[in-house]
Amino acid sequence: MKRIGVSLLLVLIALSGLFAGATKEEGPAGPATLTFYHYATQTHILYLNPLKEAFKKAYPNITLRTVEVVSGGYEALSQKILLGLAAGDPPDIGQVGFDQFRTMIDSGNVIALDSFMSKDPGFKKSNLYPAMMKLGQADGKQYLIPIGVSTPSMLVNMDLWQSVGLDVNALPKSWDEVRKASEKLKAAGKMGVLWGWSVTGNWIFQAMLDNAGGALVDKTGKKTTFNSPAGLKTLKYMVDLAADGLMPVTDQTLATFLTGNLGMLVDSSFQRINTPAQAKFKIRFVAMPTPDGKTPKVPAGGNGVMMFSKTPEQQQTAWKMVRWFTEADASNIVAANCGYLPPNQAVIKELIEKFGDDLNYKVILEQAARVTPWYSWPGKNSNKIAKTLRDMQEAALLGKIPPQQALDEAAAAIDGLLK
Amino acid sequence: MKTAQPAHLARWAGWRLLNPYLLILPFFAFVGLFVFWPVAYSVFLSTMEWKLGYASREFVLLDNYVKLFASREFWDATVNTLVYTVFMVVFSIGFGLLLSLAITRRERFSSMWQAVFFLPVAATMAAMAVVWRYIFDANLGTLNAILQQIGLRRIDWLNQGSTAMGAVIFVSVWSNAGYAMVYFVAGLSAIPRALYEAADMDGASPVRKFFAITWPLLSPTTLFVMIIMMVRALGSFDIIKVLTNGGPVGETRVLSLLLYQEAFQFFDTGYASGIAVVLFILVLALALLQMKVEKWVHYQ
Repeated sequence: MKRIGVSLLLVLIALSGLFAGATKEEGPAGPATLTFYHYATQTHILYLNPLKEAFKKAYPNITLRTVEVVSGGYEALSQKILLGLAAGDPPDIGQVGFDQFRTMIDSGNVIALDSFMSKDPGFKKSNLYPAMMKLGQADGKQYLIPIGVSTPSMLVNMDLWQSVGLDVNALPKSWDEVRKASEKLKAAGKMGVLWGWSVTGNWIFQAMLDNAGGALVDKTGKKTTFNSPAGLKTLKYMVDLAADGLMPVTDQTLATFLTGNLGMLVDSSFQRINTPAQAKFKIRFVAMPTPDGKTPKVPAGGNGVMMFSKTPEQQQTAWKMVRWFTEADASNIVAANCGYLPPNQAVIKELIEKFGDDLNYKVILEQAARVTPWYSWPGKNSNKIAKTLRDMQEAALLGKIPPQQALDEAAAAIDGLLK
Repeated sequence: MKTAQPAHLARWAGWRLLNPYLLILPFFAFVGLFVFWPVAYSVFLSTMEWKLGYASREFVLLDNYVKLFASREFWDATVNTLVYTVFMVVFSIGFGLLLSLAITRRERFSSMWQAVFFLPVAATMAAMAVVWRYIFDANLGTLNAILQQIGLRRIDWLNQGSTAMGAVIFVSVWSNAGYAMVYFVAGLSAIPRALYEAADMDGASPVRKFFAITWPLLSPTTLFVMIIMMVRALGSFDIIKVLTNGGPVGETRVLSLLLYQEAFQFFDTGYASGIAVVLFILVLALALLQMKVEKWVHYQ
């Protein structure tokens, strides 16, 4: 009897170990260190610091060494990663903006994640929005896992809107409605709308162009197509707004909006928490207006993580962290601390149920399943191409060059850079 | 004074020859590592096609220079650099000199005024440039608010080619005039008072005294300040980066900013190294040119 009891106990212990192994993910066998490069502006640490803390708790035997980039945008972050690679001290994991991820792939240093995803039973691809996963794919491989996705959205200063006699229940959906509202705001001595053309230089332009029926490039990705009638319609619309004094030409988008004298700002949904907290007026987030007032196509802004580890052991450890970013814990932290949409579908569904009455949040959450890729230019000149597009818009908006000529010259320059 | 040497070394005749070189070795090692090596490595990189962080690089000899000299952006940036440098140097020296003359004439509060005008030099320029950007901003700026108060129209200072370079030069002069002033104050205090007393006895006017005594005897200081200012102007980056980032449409983009953009925004390390080499040659040529001016300098 005693023997049976001991045997049973041993079986129980063995089974408990088995179940523990099945339910709780083990970290690396021994202590390990991961180097994580990330962006660390005041708004980005709001979600990144809690993410790091939660990861450390989930994986206590992994020491997280972080390198933080405090300003300069995704380009500065890429620069830091590339400098680390050039110096032979690369990160294991780097946070990378969607617009920069082709640059990273083309550098030849990024590890494709497909083999880790397929071999790891703990990774559930079906938990993630396919549209968001697509943002990290190139040449049929998954190189990036999204942390947070933002969409182009319109912020409306509701107090100003009301004070000039505009209808708070009829916020603009089409470009014409935006223009008409801007005219009324201008007549009251205020600024109308600011389409954030300078935000990364091409994100809003691409969003407007996509919705006008155009595209930045053809299907081969080797030839630009934005100097099309759709491109002209997009650029001319903004140029006319600027020329008629309905849109200020500035890259100080948020600062201009926060003065309280600008009626509408088309910027990132990432601002959902930060900007209303700073504003002394009521803000409504609405879907980005389109030429015809239809539901907009929304190219995804934001960022994800890429793996750069050199050795198989480090890659295995780095994968633990990459995978962790896809899980509900990480997605909940992202959703709670910034305006980004996390990639986890279950979390988004919970949020829609929970925040269905929050109109600002609802409009953003509803876009999660519809995001389209923000075009990441291939080849060695991707950032130069983005700058060319930015300069093209600036020149046209300042009236230095007619819209069609600006588009044609930029298209020719970019075609040259794509060769 | 003789330095003590170990007995076995003292016997070795070569030690006396080697000793001074060993003593200056740390200095040359430092300068070699942090000055000459980076310059030489930049020249080497300028012959490569290499993107920062990329695994491969290719030897292209002079291709980067050919591309550079064929680029409109490079020539525009060169012209902008020269315009910026000339105005920044001339106005910084001019205002620095005026400030120093005003301060040295009044002994009361002289130190306080020196500190006040030197403050911009001590301030972190990137942070100050952010403040200036908001002052000049078309929609939020203090300057336009004042203009509007007095019934004038708003000006988009940083977005118009006609005003953007002026605004950038203005802020640069604001930050550098105090620097020049300190040297001029020192230069003025070294001019013997007896010369002015003799001129007073001859009935010389203040203007005559300035051109006959002050200006010639300040010429060594002026030459020194001019070289320093020129080097500072050619290396200017933070003010322009923050104020205009080279805009509008490249109209305030100087060579140092072009270099930064190519190296750290577009990651084109080889091409950026080519710009660095050209900038280095430009600075060297101007410094040598200034040495030629030395024959007009009056040393006491």
